[in-house]
Amino acid sequence: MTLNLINLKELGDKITPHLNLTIFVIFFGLLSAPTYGGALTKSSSVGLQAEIFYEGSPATHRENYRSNLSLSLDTEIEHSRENNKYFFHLFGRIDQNDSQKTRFDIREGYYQYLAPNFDFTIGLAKVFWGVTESVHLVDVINQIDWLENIDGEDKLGQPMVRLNIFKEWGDVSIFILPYFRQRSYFSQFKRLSTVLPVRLKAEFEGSLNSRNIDYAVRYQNYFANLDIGISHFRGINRQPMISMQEDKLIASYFIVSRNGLDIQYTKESWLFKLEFLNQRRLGRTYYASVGGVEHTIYGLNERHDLGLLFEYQYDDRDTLHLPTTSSNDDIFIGFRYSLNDANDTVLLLGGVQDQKDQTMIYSFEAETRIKSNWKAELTARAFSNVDPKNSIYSIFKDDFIKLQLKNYF
Amino acid sequence: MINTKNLLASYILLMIIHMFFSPIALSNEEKGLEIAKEADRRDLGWGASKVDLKMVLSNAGGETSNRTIRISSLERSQPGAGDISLTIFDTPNDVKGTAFLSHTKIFKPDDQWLYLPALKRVKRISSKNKSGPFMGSEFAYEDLLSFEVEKYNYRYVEDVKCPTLPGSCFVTDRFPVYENSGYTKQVVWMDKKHYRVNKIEYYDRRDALLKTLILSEFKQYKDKYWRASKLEMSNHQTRKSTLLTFSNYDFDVRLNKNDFKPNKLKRVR
Repeated sequence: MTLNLINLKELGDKITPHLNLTIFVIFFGLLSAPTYGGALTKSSSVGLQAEIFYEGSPATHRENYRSNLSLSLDTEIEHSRENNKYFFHLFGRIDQNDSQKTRFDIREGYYQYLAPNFDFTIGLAKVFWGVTESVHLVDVINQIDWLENIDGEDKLGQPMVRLNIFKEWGDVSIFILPYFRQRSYFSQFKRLSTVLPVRLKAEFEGSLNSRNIDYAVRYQNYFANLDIGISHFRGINRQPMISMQEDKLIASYFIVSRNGLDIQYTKESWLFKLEFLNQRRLGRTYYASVGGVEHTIYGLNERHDLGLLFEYQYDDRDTLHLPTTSSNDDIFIGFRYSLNDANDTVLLLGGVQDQKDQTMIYSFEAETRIKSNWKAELTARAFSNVDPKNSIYSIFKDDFIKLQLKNYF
Repeated sequence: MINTKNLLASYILLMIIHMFFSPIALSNEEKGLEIAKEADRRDLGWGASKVDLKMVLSNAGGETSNRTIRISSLERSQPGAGDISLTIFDTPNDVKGTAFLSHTKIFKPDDQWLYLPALKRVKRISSKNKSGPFMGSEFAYEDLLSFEVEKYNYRYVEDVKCPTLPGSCFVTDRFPVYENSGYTKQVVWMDKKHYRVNKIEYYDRRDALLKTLILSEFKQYKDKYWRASKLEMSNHQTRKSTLLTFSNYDFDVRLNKNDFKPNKLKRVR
């Protein structure tokens, strides 16, 4: 059924049949690999997504399909033996309308050596830094995967060599990042894409290219109620500068130096959070920060919890030297309602308002487990009062509801 | 004739004999505390352990939902410090790889971190939620935390035949003195021979009977430490119940404080 839905021509353009075949042989080969020993674990899930857009876009040439179906497959394979760990996360998606979203990706694929006081990782891996919820300023290692989620929570695996050291005085991580992965964008004229198409081939500043070696270090520790992280990164900025050239947008990548600080102070049911970022490019220094509180009220209706979140986002960048951001003077308010039931049902409602131009983004998410191996997720996003100068202007008519049903096997 | 001096001497002698040989009449509060201390003393020195746990949640209609988790624990004996535990979730599949780390403290709020594998994120969380349900079950977080003598006031009630263990049991009321407990009182049945908890009744903030826990299938490890393999919690108000089955206890595992750092949650496997 699903095969009828995909645009086979576009799929063929994207990946050559030969590569296509190889990928699927590997994928299904791994899926059906026999489980030997006790140290190999495998878990997979297949997800069906339906998106509904309420409005048509006013942009010319924009395709105004109101619904979109999409099928995804995730497989995680972990093999552990003594101090050694191998981990693979393979991902594939077939999308009805957008050929960019139809793809196969190795989300993670690494070898890790684990000793009591250090570990060493080589391969494609994901890393998260930071404490806040509405924007992740200091989290810089992985490229964002817009195609999966426009909230920026989904990431591409980053090729890396990493050493983590665990000491009494704190933990230190050293990263060498030998290959840069570009940001992916929705296909031209598809829902959630930019008004003008982004040219597929990106540009790099000067003699820079994808094989540039980036590096990063991070220190992390906690002192009583205080959790703290300090990080430094030098390399290609994960977000490109977008400039217009004739009828296309050009994504150009450049070198940046970033220092980050993230702090959380936990006091009873209050979490106080702060992320601070200093970025240097071409001799200029810019500051950005996000800070706020998360307060949880426990035991509503005997067993429910209500989390209240407030964060303020600030950024002083000038868009001649750094890419535009929507998080420059914005207030985020969020509510998280957990039912604490056997199905782990959680509802999230959030809103971000730009204090300068009053642009609002609303977000609603709900998830629950059905039986033991199904998960249902509902996501809705709405954009209102969008200022033509705001960076989300191109999607202001792309309000949508997404329903996902996932089966784990 | 008995002179006064002799009388006084024999009276003092009698007092001394009385002091040394007659049973000291303990108040019920003191006796309750002594029982708790003895139970605690008998369980000292286990060091570290690992165990597999299966949880079966049943609702009033008989529908069930399962979870499998692994728990590593480290004993801490310095004053004010409770034990450390690391809980790794294996099923349901959608939460596989999630890990929960708790550095328990006796009087101060515990330090707790949660690892979310999809985001690769370690998050420090509030530990105020002592009375909240653990993984949607009928066990509250506080029901699963390590036992520490100082966390309660006690009052011995009586000796009775044990609910399911052989022999007779002490019945003691205990009253939580730590903050944010969901209970006003717990009634504990503990067997007199080995000081094993056989049954607990939990009374809610309105002083109504909320839950009953029955512990059974005890096994002794390292010739000293008794652990129940089955814990069945029944909620009388919702008619829901949760059965915990512990298996593969390992008291020979070598773990130290360094294995329980929050940043190490990322390497949980």
